[in-house]
Amino acid sequence: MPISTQTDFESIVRETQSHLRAYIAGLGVTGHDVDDVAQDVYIELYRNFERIPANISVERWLKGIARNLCMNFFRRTSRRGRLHRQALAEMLSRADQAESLTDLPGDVEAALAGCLKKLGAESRRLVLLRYEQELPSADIAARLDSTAEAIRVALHRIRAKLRQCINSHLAEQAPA
Amino acid sequence: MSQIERLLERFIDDADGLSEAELAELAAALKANPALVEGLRDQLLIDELLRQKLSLDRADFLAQVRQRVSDHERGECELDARTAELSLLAMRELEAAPEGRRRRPALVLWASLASLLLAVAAAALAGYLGSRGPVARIAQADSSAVVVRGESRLPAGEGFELKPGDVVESQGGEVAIGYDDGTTVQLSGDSTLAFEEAAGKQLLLSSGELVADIAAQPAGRPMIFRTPAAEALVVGTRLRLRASLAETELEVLEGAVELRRRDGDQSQMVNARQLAVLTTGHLTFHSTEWPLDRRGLVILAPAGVGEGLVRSSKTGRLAPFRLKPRGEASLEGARAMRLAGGAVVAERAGRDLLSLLEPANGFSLEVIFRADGPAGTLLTYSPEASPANFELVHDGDWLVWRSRAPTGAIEYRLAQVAARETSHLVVTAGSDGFRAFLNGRLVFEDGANPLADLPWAAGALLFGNAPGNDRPFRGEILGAAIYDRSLPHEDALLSSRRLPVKP
Repeated sequence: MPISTQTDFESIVRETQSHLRAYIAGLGVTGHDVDDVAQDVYIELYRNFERIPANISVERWLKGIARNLCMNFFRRTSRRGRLHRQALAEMLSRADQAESLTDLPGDVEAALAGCLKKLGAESRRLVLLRYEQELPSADIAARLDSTAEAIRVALHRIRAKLRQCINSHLAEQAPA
Repeated sequence: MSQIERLLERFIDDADGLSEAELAELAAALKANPALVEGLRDQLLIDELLRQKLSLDRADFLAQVRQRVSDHERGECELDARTAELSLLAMRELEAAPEGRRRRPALVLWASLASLLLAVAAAALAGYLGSRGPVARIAQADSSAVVVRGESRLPAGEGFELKPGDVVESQGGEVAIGYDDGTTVQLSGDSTLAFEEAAGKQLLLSSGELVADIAAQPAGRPMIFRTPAAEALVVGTRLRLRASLAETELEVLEGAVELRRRDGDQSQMVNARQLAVLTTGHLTFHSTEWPLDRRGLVILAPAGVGEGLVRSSKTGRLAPFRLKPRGEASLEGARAMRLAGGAVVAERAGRDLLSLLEPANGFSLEVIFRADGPAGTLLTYSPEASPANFELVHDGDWLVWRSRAPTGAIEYRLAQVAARETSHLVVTAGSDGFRAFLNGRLVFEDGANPLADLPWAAGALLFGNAPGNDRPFRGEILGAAIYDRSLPHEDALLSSRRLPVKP
């Protein structure tokens, strides 16, 4: 998407925000910090809207800025394991150069909605407890008479299943 | 399940919950196995997409971007207006200057010739310096940043090699500079940093602010940071340095730094979690570790450079959140929030505050502040389009507490405070009633607890002026803390004696 075809900042934000936030989370930024960094990226876009080279797509430009701001974020935050978090972010950033959900064409959000419907009742319940009610694994475990580790394993499997389902969904939609 | 799989799942579940050693183990395992990195990345992506889809407080992202753009625009307008005012002032002063002080043509000619000679000499020196090897590199820079080399102003792009004599100007953006030994220097705001003509790492911060993470330096060759008034000798530590012509502020985050005044031989050690402030003729030390007793602490601001701390309702641990200045407000590093009509916003902390306070049996607010004038809102916890849950207002000479209570709105006039003096206030409520302590003394008491069964709604926590309020607070908030317990008199008294620790 060259910048010359983009005239509306807000429409770019609307179209790219979900992928961009996923990209930032994919570098190891967590929780509300994802939205804070993403907002910083869009402020940079707002400030430099006319200066983005025509031969660079907006998505690529946003990802470049997001990568730098994420590294900055890890450098600036004085939390534990700063250097290791930076190293992890570097590795995750390199992994993004391989095929990533944030690069796939098609409506990933719609695919995710469809895939959620295909989950079994137990898995759906677990997803809602974790992501809608934002309960930590230990609290979910207490409710379900399980252990935090078992809950983490179950959620890991559910996410892997959703990833496969989204891939299949997008492949079906892709033009032959 | 292997140890690495367990660590991966815990990282996805709560990345902040891993210890330093566990993060190191995970990083090493991922480095050795790229397939694991891709798996982790996929998990993080799906995790985030699920949060976006299902979590209620992630749903208003577009509105938040609009707000940030609006804040950005307002900031630019205020800056333009201030620049115009200053230009006008300068013009008036020139016009009003007596005849004898106006520049005479001959003097202007000599000054021009001298400038020309200086420029030629500077260009020659720049050519000489340009042939020398790099001492550091730009690791990352905002587009506004430039490197001044001789008479050239060059864009400070990633990878730019910095040489002795170069001057980096951040010009409102951020610039990260890296040395080969891993030392990093990060500039922010309007900062000017010169790489001095000398052996070793010697930098002159003539104005602005930097944060540096310094690798261990060779014995007898410390890294030296100079400001107009002081120099800091560092052998390996993390520090924050702020400089202007009138003041130097050094905060040591780790290790220790020797601070020398440039107009004398005296030097003093500044230790970790200490802040040294050097003004004309005065060096004062402050502890950055406040409050000392953190039992029941829910929110603390400021707690680091541009950061506060909020207790996670999930893990119970204190985690950093970002403080965002809005309008005419700024962060003075970890030392204070400076308010001149605007506010410092703690969105995330505000979102979490209610869920942290609701199950608690007590509530306390502790604030250290200095007002420049007689009126203004110091602090507001306010949901959008609803009355504030609580606010602390400096009204005339009085500090006034207002809040929503089950019985309706309450307003308590707590105590009289003087402008331009540092005051320490604790407002506390619990089963033994509602009390306020000013500078450690009990100044207000009500046997009933009006804050039991809080009828509050989640919203933003603002230090300073709420939007639409025409009586902005002007001054500094040096520290603000909220607890989920009632603070007894002795705790309020002890805490009031913490700042400043050493005159």
